[in-house]
Amino acid sequence: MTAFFRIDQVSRAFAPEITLGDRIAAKLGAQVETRSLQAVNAVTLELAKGETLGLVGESGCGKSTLGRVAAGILPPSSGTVALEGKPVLINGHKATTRIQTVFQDPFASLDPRMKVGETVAEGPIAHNLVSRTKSGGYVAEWFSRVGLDPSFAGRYPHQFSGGQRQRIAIARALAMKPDLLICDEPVASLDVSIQAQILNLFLQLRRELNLTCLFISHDLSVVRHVSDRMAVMYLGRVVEEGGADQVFDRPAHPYTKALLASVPKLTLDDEALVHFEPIEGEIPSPLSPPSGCHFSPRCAFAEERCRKDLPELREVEDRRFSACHFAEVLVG
Amino acid sequence: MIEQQSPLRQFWSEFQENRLAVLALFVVIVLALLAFFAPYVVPQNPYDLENLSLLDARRPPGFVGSGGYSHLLGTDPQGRDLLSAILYGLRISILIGLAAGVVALALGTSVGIAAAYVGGRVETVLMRIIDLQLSFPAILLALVLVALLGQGKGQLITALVAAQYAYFARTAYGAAKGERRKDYIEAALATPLSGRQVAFRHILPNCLPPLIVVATVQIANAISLEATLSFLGLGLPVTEPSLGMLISNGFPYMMSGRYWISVYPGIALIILIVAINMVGDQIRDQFNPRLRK
Repeated sequence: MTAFFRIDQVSRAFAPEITLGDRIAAKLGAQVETRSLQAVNAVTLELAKGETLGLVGESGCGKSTLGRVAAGILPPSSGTVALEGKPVLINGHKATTRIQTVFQDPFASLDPRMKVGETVAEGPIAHNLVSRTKSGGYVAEWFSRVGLDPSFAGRYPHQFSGGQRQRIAIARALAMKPDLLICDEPVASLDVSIQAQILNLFLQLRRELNLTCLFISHDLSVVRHVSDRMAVMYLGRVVEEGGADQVFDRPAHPYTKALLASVPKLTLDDEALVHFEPIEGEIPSPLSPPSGCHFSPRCAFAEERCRKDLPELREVEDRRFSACHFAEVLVG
Repeated sequence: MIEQQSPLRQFWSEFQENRLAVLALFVVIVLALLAFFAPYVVPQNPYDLENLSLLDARRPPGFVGSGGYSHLLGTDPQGRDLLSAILYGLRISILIGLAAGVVALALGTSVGIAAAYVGGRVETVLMRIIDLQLSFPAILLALVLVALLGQGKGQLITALVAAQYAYFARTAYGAAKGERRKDYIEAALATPLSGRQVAFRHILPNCLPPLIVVATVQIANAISLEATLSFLGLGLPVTEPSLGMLISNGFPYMMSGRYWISVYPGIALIILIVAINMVGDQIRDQFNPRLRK
């Protein structure tokens, strides 16, 4: 059986653009960067219909790049993305409207010179989901569904707050009647009080519309709140995947364990009111990843074998995957 | 919620703060109206040779000629009433300046946005051509073209467009390149919308502010370039003198005390160009957030 949405062995590298000037500079002895950056490396993910997969990782781990490849914005260097077995990209162009995206920064993702109502109506009109004459009512309907006054449709983005803008961005994505919604850090740039509102709106709409979601975030508590399953990325690879609660309660990869421990927690213990353990070391440069397991230089459990063999992502338990040689030990 | 105000109204209320710019805009509008309605304003059609009498040639301001009316600004070597000739000349200058400016704007903007949007080899080739052209003085290019194409309004406009579109292309390219990277373009492409729709509905409107600024300056430049070409005798036919040619016609008489033939058309030209530039400066300041108080 094919999965509803499948990201299959997707890799994405960014090669530096080498101009004629750079080539001459390199000949003359200047340092010109020619290595390409492997942002996403052979990632395979599957989503069942109606399921929400949370994708977490540190900044720069490739989760946003993977999200953009999944959304059909960025073509993968290799591998395929398919919705119900049909490829999302055909000849480098996005061939479906059933996948829509909500972007991180609502201040940048809305055209500043277009009335927000037009922004929401534009896609549905272009794809004949609604006629131009009926678009006013259609936009009003979506505005009220995301909790905005329909009379706001004639205003410009600068007249709204961040939370309101993100509601508009959600309305724009949902007005295209997608089956799969890709949320790229949708609440990361909002105030904490607004985050909760937007997350609740998101959960409500997901239930009403039976949406399948790929939810990208660096905020672990947000991901746990919204996800059925989650995948953890480190340096372009998925290192752990499984049910959200399982991953949180019994992580099967040292990186996940460290990531969970690094979240500041308020405890009611007298000695340590605030408790967190930052992960040792810096995230290595993706231009020259370490040999063997990419996490080994920062890993508390690393042994000789970890620095030589790159562990494959393998099924440790039923529907639980980990890319650690000692996953079984960790799960215990 | 920020007070709701249409962008245009907001722009105008800010524009009003600069009294000098308002005055300049007023001058531009008055000159444009005078030039447009010249046939109803002035006593003589200076382009109709039957109206001209050589007996009236080179008369000083205030002279009452054979037409029976006073030549307020004097007459030129062909016996034209200078006031009439200046307003008719302004008409040609503004018309040619506007036409050349608008065509150059459309052409340059298309080239610039296409280069920024398509990218790759197309971008490199187009922008190197533009750079190459920008390294030539505009006047040189226009001179060569007018010499090749011959005289006439169409030819003159072609030459001015060829000399000026590169400025628009550069500006549009820079603005579009910046907009291209922004999230809302990615959002539009992710919908997906067609490339044409993204370019026209999203990139173009966001590139307009700098283009409007360049357009006002370039219209003034087109007018002065046209005057220069006419002064050098390469512009329009002698029977229909524009401002540049009027100045040129009076040039030999400057030293013999008949200053008005050159000076009055010159003053008209200067007032027009300075006024347009002042309006352009104010628009530029308003579009540049760093210069805002």
